[in-house]
Amino acid sequence: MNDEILIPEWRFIPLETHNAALNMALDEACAHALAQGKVDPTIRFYRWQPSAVSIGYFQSLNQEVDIQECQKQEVDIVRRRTGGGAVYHDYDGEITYSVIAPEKMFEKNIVESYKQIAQNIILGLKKLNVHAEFVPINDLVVSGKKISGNAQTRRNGILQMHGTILCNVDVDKMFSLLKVPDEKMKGKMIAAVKERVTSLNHHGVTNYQTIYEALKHGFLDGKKWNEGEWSDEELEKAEILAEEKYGHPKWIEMR
Amino acid sequence: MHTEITHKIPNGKLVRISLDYDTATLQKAKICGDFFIHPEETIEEMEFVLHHLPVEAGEQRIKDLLDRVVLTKKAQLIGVDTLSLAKLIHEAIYQ
Repeated sequence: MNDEILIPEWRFIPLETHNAALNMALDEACAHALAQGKVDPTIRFYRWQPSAVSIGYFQSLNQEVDIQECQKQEVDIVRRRTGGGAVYHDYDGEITYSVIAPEKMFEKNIVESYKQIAQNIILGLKKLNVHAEFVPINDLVVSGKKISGNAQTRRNGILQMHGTILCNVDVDKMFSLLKVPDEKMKGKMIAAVKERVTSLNHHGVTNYQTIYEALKHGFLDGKKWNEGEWSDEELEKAEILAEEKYGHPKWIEMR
Repeated sequence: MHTEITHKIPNGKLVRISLDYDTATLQKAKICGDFFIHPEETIEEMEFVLHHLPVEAGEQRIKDLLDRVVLTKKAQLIGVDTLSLAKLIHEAIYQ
């Protein structure tokens, strides 16, 4: 058998910026196209403009998000199709990636596959002299403090995992947008989160382009890949999903 | 009547249960949180089977109902489990 067939060729979509609904819609449109064999397994990086709060599939919008505050601060709200927790995606504060590929390329065990994909982030951060480790279920920590959260779904034989790497975290802003289980404890909780979370600027890394390049290497080194772009079909599907699903109150307020 | 309960599962995720019930049965159950269930829509099925559950149902009966859904949907639960959910639902009714 020809070895070429065995080595998957990846499509790399360079860093791009969209609103929350389109960012989530592009992930799903890509997974859909890949399931139909129309595109290659894909790695992408993206930012959120306007900044946005994303909530996990199983979370209650009203329990997790201060909707009025988001409107006041012009922060988008979107529900992901993956589980996990609420995330504040600050335009300047983090970078998001997605890996969309056939399930069979990864460990069958879901937590093991988190670990497998997290290695890309670990390698990327290592290039910045930041030493991260994977902590099950879905986090990466540096010196015990969380720097990255990740979430995946598997549908129609396709694994889609996305996650954020914190570049410059603003915990106060984050908690101005998110609700906590016990509002009376909010002050204490913010203090505790400040102790438990870190970002790359705390480790002397502040240049966004440098971070992006390092992560790009972390994800792509050792892989066969081509820089690519979205197909017309993916873009059309994503526009529809952004309007009718991810940007629609029926989905956002579903739970 | 309405009741809510929030619980962090040890070594797992945060679960928030909201229940509407009358003197005899559960009218509505909502199971929310930052856990993972594959496939995701299993949760709607889990909530559905709890509708009209007698309020005196024990933890085991609740767990059995949830397990049946998990089995049917071939679902995988991560950061949450049916025993913890059954205990929380039972506790929410009687708190």
